Amino acid sequence: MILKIEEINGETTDIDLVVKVTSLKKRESQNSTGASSIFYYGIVGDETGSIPFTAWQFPQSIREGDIVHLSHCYTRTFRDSLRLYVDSRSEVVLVPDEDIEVKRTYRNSTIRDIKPGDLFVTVEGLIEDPIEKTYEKDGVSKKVLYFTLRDETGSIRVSSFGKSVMANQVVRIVGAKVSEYRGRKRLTIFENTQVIPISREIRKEAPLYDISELSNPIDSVGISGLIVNLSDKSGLMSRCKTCRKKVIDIKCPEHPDDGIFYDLFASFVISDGTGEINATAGASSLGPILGITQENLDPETSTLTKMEVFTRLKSTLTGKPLYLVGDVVRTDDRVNFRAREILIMNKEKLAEVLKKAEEGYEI
Amino acid sequence: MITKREVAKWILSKELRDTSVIEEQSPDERGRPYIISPMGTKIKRVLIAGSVASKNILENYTKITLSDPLGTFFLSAFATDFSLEVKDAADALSVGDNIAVVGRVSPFKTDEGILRISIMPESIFSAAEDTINYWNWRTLFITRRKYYAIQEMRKREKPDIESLVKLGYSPEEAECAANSLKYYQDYNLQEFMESLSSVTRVSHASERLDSLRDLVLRVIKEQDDGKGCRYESLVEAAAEENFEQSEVDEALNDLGSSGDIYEVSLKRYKII
Ligand SMILES: [Zn+2]
Repeated sequence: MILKIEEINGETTDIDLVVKVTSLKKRESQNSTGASSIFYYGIVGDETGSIPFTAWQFPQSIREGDIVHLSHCYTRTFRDSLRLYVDSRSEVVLVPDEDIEVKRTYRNSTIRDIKPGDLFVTVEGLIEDPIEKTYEKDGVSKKVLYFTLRDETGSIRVSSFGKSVMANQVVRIVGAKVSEYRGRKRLTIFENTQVIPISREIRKEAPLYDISELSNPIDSVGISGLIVNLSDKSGLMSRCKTCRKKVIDIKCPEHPDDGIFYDLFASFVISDGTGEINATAGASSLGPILGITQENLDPETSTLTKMEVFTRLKSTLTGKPLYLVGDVVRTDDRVNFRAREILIMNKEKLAEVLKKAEEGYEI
Repeated sequence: MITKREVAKWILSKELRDTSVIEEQSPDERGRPYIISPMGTKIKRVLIAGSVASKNILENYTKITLSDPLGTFFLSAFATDFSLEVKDAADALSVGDNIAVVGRVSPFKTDEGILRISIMPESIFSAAEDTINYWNWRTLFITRRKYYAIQEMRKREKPDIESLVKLGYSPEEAECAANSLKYYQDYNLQEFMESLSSVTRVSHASERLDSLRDLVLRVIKEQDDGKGCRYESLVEAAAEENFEQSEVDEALNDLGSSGDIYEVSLKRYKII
């Protein structure tokens, strides 16, 4: 069946399209052994949209502006957008004497692409953890729904006024607003925003980024790296039981009688060779790798000392290949990484991460 | 620290050894100048990893040589008030220890006018074998990317950083490419790249492909309805084991050229 470009739903195989080649470029690439091969890339489009493509094989006779019938192609997310692949299994046939009025807009935006200030964006994603809250406006009680929307590039927090959604549903959201709130991107859905359930599969897996790619806020992304510098403020800290603020003395100045609890904290600079980013982590990610439980953090029974925890952090985290999942948050004029999960990579994870990075790089 | 922290670059010892350029500074610039490597990398600090090849404790500093896949780095850990900890860490090392080091590069010219670069460690971390694998692989990968960027830049009449960024290279890679073409016209990049291919990379790629070949052979046997097993069935079965379509194509090519299978008709396969 011949599809239209707007009908392509995420990563899929065996696609048939009739499209106009609006841009066509040729490139030579070399693999690690020095053998070279030629491939083609560019953009194809039809009345419903345009999509970038890469072709490992492509007929020499086809030129920009030609209409072609592409069959047995597949799509994959590359860098931040969906890309069409034409390989040796695909067929490319020229369709003579035809023309197509190409809609020169890319398909939907990805969560990574949308920018604060964008007013009418279209994004698709998987709905996670919806929570409903009520608020008062002009004496009337209204509902607002908060949830996380995830796609192959990361996730974003969404506030929905007047539209309800279900957990684990994949939807296309048309006409939402993007803003930045406390250093994170946020999507707002209003009464007139369309929320359409679609059939598209989205894996609950954090995409792997190079640190050099992280210049804007995005949630739920993965990075790998080695620690360049572990701040000596890391380790054990005391917090007030009531306001949860960091306590420097033994008592919170505002709630001196309310008691304190211990918390784990790490602040470090991590590098993957493409760049460096400041990262922070708390008890939920540090506890498991340090073998420190909630019980160990109760000041009544804890035998932990600041020095001991810092030393343990240092020997556990530095000099090890780490894999972090977390959120990129803007503070002042730079971005920071808030790690939610920290993994010390074993051979298997290492191979997986290295392979992923290499696949993501085929310009 | 008052100044902005210099990003530590990941580079191979050969790239550092072949470095012959110190960036010129304008008179009002302060601090140490950058060195510029053949790949165009501007460096003040590095993050390197490898195994300790030699250690020599002298009165006020300790000399360490550190091996990476293409040679050695030279480290000098001085005993100054603010680096006693690093000197102690260096003194405690044994030959054969795996370490990761963050340090500042310190260039000096020999009497013959040759630029030599040693590294003054700021932090020394004990490293696992996986760390060394990770660093080797990442550094090779980053170096190859820079090489591709240089090749791409070479096609242009004038250095054009923006056009490379549009192609998907990072701004740093594009800048490196421009630097390399500016400062290292006569450097033999080809030879450098050839030396990289001698480095064994950590990769489960071949094991992975082996298991995929087994899977493909099994599925062809099971799903041959007389007219041969359909390509789609292979892709489907492989996808269940998390293999990509492109990997199936690669396995089919390999099995075809080794004479294990043949294509009976378009996209139908049989075991020989
Ligand atoms: Zn308090």
